[in-house]
Amino acid sequence: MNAKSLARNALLTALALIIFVIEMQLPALSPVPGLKLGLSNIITVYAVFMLSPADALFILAARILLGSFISGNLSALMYSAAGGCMCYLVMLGLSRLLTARQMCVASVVGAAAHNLGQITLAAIIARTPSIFAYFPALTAGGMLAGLFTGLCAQFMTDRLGKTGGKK
Amino acid sequence: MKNDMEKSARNTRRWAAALAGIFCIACALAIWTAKGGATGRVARIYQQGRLIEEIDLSKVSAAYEFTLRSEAGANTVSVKKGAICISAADCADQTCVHQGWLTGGLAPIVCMPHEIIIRLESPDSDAEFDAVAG
Repeated sequence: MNAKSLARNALLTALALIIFVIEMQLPALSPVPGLKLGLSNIITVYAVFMLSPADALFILAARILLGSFISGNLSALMYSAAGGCMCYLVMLGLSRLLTARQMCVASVVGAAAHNLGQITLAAIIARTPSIFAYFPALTAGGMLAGLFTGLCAQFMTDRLGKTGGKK
Repeated sequence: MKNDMEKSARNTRRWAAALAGIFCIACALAIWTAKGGATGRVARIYQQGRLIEEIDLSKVSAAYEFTLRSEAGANTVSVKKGAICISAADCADQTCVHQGWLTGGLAPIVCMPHEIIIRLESPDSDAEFDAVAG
């Protein structure tokens, strides 16, 4: 990692953390456990499509780890990590099939994959499959949130493209 | 180039149609889990996979509350006729408190940090975990 990409990755991580902290201040939007907007996913979607897979993973991992330190909710770390891994892998796969103009599609599927990873880990830890009763609601809500973050990432890419934010 | 753009637009429409379909199915299933299922009247509270409390909600006359304690933390459970909820918890995320009153449906109240699950089950059904835990 050269100095330029290190600086860019650090900047994107800081951005993701700022978004994360702001979202933390919002009240819970729904009674469904584990469902939230996931606004810092905007940065992940952008990174997966515009940067190398290693850079995107670095930004995601740093954000999840530092985010859990900031929120002080260490038990949430495992769920974020499980969801983040699923989301990353699915979006990375889709980024091979899709163009950067179709980020929204990857974001929607990635958000659903994030929730699948989270709920699977929760079911394993709580030793009950009954938690999967939340899976449909989480999928539907996650897809809406993914659509929103995907659109944001799309706008961000369009703006950054003009100032030469590419590799 | 123009051909490519058209191909890409068609591709996007196909993805959008598939995802919209999945979204509709998920919504239908979400409504089913919230309303449907065998709506039992017995609330069963599980902690770390073990059944620790069983309350017949149809027989509750006066509302009351009690506190569940473990090394992980404490949750205050409120009970009234036909409904149960976690009204307070000493965890960081308060997810279980936000879930509110549980009156029916398939979805349980979950408190992941303290590994507590509250489900409504039909009175004659076996507790889910006894066979596994035993």
